[in-house]
Amino acid sequence: MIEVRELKKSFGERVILDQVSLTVPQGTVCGILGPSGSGKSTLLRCVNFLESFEAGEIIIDGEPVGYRSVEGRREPLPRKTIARMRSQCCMVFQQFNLFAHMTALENVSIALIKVRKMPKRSALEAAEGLLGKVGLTHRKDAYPAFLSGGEQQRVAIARALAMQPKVLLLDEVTSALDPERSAEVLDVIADLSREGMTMMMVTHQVHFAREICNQIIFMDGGVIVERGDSSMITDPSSDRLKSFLRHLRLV
Amino acid sequence: MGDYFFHFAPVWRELPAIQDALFQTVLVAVTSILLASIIGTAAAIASANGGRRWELAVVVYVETMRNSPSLVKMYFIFYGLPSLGLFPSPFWSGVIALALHNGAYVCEIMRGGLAAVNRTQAQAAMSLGFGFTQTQTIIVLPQAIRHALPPLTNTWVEIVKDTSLTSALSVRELFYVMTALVSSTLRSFEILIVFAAIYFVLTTLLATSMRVMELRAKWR
Amino acid sequence: MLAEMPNLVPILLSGMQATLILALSTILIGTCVGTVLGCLAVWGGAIIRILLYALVTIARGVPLVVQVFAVFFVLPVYGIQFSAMTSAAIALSVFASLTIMEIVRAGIKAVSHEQYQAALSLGFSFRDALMSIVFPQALRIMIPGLVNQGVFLVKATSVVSLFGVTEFMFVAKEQIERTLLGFEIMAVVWIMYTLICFPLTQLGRTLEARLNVRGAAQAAS
Repeated sequence: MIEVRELKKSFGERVILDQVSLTVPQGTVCGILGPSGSGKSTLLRCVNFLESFEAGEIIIDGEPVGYRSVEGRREPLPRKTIARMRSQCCMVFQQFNLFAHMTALENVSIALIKVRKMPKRSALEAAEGLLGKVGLTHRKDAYPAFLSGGEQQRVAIARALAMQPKVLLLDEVTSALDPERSAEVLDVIADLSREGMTMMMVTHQVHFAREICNQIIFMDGGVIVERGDSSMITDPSSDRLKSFLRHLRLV
Repeated sequence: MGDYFFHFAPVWRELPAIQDALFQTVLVAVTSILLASIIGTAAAIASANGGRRWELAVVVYVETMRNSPSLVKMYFIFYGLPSLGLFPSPFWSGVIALALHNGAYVCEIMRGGLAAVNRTQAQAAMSLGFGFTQTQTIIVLPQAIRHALPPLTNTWVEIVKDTSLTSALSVRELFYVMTALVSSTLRSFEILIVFAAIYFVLTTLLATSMRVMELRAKWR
Repeated sequence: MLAEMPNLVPILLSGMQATLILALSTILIGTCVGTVLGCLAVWGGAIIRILLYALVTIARGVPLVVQVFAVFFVLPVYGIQFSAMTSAAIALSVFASLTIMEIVRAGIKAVSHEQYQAALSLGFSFRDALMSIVFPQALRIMIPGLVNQGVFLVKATSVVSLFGVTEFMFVAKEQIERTLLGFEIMAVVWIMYTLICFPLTQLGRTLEARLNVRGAAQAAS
C-alpha cells in the first residue's frame, strides 16, 4: 500500500506539488490524469525518490520514502536504504531508458545480479521467464537500438518486474509509441492488473485508464482537483476536469 | 650522398639491449596510460557529480596541467621534490608526470563522453535500486567510454610517444638506448630506422586494436 | 633562493625568449608550408596525396624526439651541418608543416563540394572560386585547430632541450644544476609556460565553441 501525505515540492518560487495526499491500496491501480505541467510525473518520481521533496511524506508498506524523522528533525535516509526502497517500487519511463550497451536479456537480469546479488545463472533464468511473459523470448539477444519502441517498452516492464516490486510506477509509458505499438504494451499492463499488481500510472490513454484503474486522480497546477472511481471520466464534476476531457474530445 | 652504405649488422648485435629498452618503454607506457585514465576519469566524474566545488577544482587541475609541457612536470617531480625531502625514482617521476599531464586530457575527453550519455540512463539505474558507484561503473561509464574511444585512443598514442621524454631522466627506455647506441656504433641512420620502426609499430598497434574494439561494440 | 633571484630571473627570461622565437618561427613556417601541402593533399595527384599521407602518418606515429634526432644526427652523415638552433627549427617546422597540412586539408574538405561547384557555375575561375568562396569558409573552420596546434607547438619546443638547444627547459636545467634550486626554478618555469599558453588555450576553446554554435545553427536552419 502506498500512502502519500501532504506532499509539497517546489523549484524556487514555482510550486510543483502542493498538499498532495492519496492512498493506493494493495493490489489496486491508481491512474493519474492531468494536463502537462500539472505535476503528475513529478509525483510519480517522488514516490521513486528520483526527486526530493520539501514537506510531507510517502509511505510504502509502512516504510517511509526518502526521509525519516530523527528527534523531530527531518533528515534524508541513508543511501543504502534509498536504493533498497527504490528497487521495491520500480519505474517504467516514457522514453524506455533501456541500458543501451546491454542486450534485452542483460537489461532484465543486470539489477538482479548487481542489486539483489542473485547468482548469474538463476538471474538469467528469471529474466528469460519475464521476457517470455512480455512475449519477447525470441528477441532476448537484441540490443535496444535494434528493438521497436513497443518491444523496448515491454523489455523495460520486464526489467522492472524482475525486481518483484511492491509497486510499479508507469510514467506515460505509451506516449512515445504509435497506437499499434501502444496496444501491445497496454495488453501487458492489463495482464498485470488482473494478477493484482499494485500500480500508479500517469497516462493520456483515458479510455484505458477507465478500464483498468480502481481509482482515478485528476491533477492540475500541482494539486489534486478531483478523485474518484472510473465513473469520474464519464461524469466529471469539476469544471477543470470537464474542460480537460473536452480538449481530449472525450465528452 | 649515394655513397652511404647500410650496415645493419652492428644494430642486430645490440638486440638484447633493444629488447630491454622496449620492455621499459612498454612498462612506462602501460603504467602511465593506466594511471592517466584513472585520474582523468575520476576527475571527470567528480566534476560532473560533485557540485560546484569539485567542478572548480577539476578546472584548476586541467588548466595547470595542459598549459605546460609534460617535461616541466617531469623535472619538477625529479629535481623539485627532493627539496621537500621526497626522492622519486626516474621511472616514477616520468610515469607520474605523464599520468598527471595526460590525465587532464583524459578528463576533458571523459567529460564529453559522460555528457553524451543520456541522464535518463542513470535515473533508470537508480530506479532499479543501483547505488551511485554501481550506476556509474555498470551503466554510465561503459557507454561514456564507448563515446570517448576515438579521442581517448589519440591521447593514449600521445602517451606512448611521450615515454621517450623519460630518457631525459635517464630511464633506460627506447630513446635513451637509441642515443647510446648511436655513439657506440656510429650507425645513426640504421639505428634511426630501426627505432623509428619500433615506435611506429607500437603506436599503430595500439591505435588499431582500439579501433577494432570500437567496431566490435555491437550496441550503438 | 632570494639571493639567487636577481641572477636567475634574467637567465630564465632569456631562455623563455629563445623558446618563443623558436615556437613563433616554427608556427610561421609550419603554417605557410602546411597550407601549401594541405592544398596539394586535396588537389594534388594520387602519388603526391599518398606520399603526403605516408609522411603525416609517420610524423604522428613516431615520437617527436626521434624526428628531431633524425635532423640532428642523420643530416650530418650527408655532410649537411646546421647550428643546433637551426636544426631544431627545421625539425619542428617539418613536424608543424605536416600536422598543419592535416588541419588545412580537413578544413577545405569540410567546405562542401557544392559550394565550389556553385561558384564555378556562376562563372568563377578555379582561382577565384578558391580565393573568394572556398578559402574564407575553410579558414573559419580551421582557425580553432590552428590555435590549438600553436599551443601544442609552444609546448613541443621543449623536447629540443634534450639535444642541447639553449631554450627555456635547457636553461632551466642548467640553472638547477648550478644552484640546486630544483623546486623553485621548476615552479617558475611551470608558471611561465602557463602564462604563455593559458590565454591561447582559452582563445582556442572560445573559437571552437563559437564555431560549434554556428555550425549547429546552420545545420538547424
